[in-house]
Amino acid sequence: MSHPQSRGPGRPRRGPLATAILLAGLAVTPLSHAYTDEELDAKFSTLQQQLQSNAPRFSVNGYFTFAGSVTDENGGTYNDVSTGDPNLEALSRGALQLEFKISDDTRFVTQLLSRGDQGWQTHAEWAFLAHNINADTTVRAGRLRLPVFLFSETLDVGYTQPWVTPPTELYGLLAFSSYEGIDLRYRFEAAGADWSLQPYMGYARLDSWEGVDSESRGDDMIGFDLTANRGDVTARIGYFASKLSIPDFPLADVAYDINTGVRAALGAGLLSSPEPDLSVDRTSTRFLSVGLRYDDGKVMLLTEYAGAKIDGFFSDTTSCYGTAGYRFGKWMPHLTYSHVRVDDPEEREFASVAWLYDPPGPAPAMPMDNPGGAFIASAFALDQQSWTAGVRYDYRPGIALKAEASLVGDFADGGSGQWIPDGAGAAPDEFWVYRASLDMVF
Amino acid sequence: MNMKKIVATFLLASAVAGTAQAEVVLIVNASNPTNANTEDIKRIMLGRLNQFPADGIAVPMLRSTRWAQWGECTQKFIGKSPSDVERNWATRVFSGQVEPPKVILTDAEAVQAVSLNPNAITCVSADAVKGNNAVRIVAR
Repeated sequence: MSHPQSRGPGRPRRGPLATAILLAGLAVTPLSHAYTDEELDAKFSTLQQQLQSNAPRFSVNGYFTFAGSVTDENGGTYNDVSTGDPNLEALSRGALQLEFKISDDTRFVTQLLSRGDQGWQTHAEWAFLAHNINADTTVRAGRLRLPVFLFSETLDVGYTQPWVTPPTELYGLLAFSSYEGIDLRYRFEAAGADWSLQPYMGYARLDSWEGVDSESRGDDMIGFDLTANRGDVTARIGYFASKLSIPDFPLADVAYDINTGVRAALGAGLLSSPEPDLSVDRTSTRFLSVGLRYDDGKVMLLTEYAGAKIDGFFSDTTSCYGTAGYRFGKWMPHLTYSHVRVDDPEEREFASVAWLYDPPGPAPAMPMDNPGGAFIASAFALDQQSWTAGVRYDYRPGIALKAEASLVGDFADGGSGQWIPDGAGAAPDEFWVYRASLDMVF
Repeated sequence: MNMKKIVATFLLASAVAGTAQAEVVLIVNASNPTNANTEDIKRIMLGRLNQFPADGIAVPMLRSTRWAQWGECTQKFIGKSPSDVERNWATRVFSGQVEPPKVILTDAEAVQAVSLNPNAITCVSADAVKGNNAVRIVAR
């Protein structure tokens, strides 16, 4: 990372600016006596310290990831990426973080992020005011990142992570990444460890659900993150709760169109019932996560667990992963096992019965009597596991190259995990995802 | 030139290069009374601890990766490679937790910065602080 302050005043030799100010200072001082060398040095030192305290208060840092992915199967969308063809946009992104120090205790920070899959349009992923109440406590207000997992707050900073993409069975679950609100960070020492307690509250907008645009919101969001750091070990626990609202649930349209199409093809006439209402209004969601990291400079071990509970027909899930890596100089090969399980499949039995199947007409002579309902049920059957083998190469501080291969599979019956088939098409039993990236911070 | 001569020249050059660099030391402002131990210093240089144990805010200043002895410094005082130190600070800065630390290229600039800031701590070559009363060595 480069820091403009380091090029500011405070150099050993007097810069032109320092000299000019020194001369200006002398000019307005009544020359009642001649200055000794010592006095001049003292005066210069004072002026230099004043300059130092007025050092540039503005700094710019940034990060960039250029990454590609490809799957060995096609006919669907996986993690918001159309499968089959190589994709260089979905995982590529870059950002500039601008900081302005307003006073000794207060600063404004914004992170302007551009994503390849959004046409590199720039938006403020972070924008907040941070104020140090005292040496241990900082309050921040504005647009912040949800601190839910070990890498949540630096989710887009590929350089900070061992993988090209963090395990999607866990990291892919949370649709919210930023929220508007306020947080507090309190640092303390206890039991020989450095602790940080971070309570927060606010609300979040959900830009998309399963890759479909949505005007959804998470209201009344409240949570905390507690992190402890001792030597090579970092442990954290986090919890948050919110009220989820999805006014226009997009998959209902798709399911209705599928069933309408099937009935028309069979000459069974149009569905007489109206499109089902699958909107969600302030349903309660709760999220618990635990993480553990060990890194002694040679061995790196990571594990995280997350439990999500959402009232109603949304899937409740349990996720976890474990990663082990070993550094051979600049190279670090690593292996990850990751899975997600749906805990309440019975809550979506509705999808295979009456509400889309219109009894008065003849039953469609199809293997599934409600293909639209089955489509919705499969979208909620998130069960999957993956094995990922990868390598990180630290080319030099601030620049890393990464590559990895993931075998994804072990879906529920009738489900395809995070693979969303095109239309009512079938999903593969398992498939490979290959990813590579160049990650920088500056 | 035969192979032996090449090898001998190379070894001699390495030896000269090796002796040309003085040991690296950590310095604070002369007015800083801290008696921070090695573990405290490691935590401060990683941004985990933001105060000196005695008292006062700690302002760690990093050195540029273009400074030849930075790797020696991170291994000796932080126990990590420059890449790991970079990753650590990237995590803190881009999560908005801390202000970006100052990154300094030359020893002269580093000594000057610490002599002007009572809270600063950074790493320099021992040669750079000989006879300097404005800074104090806290670890070597």
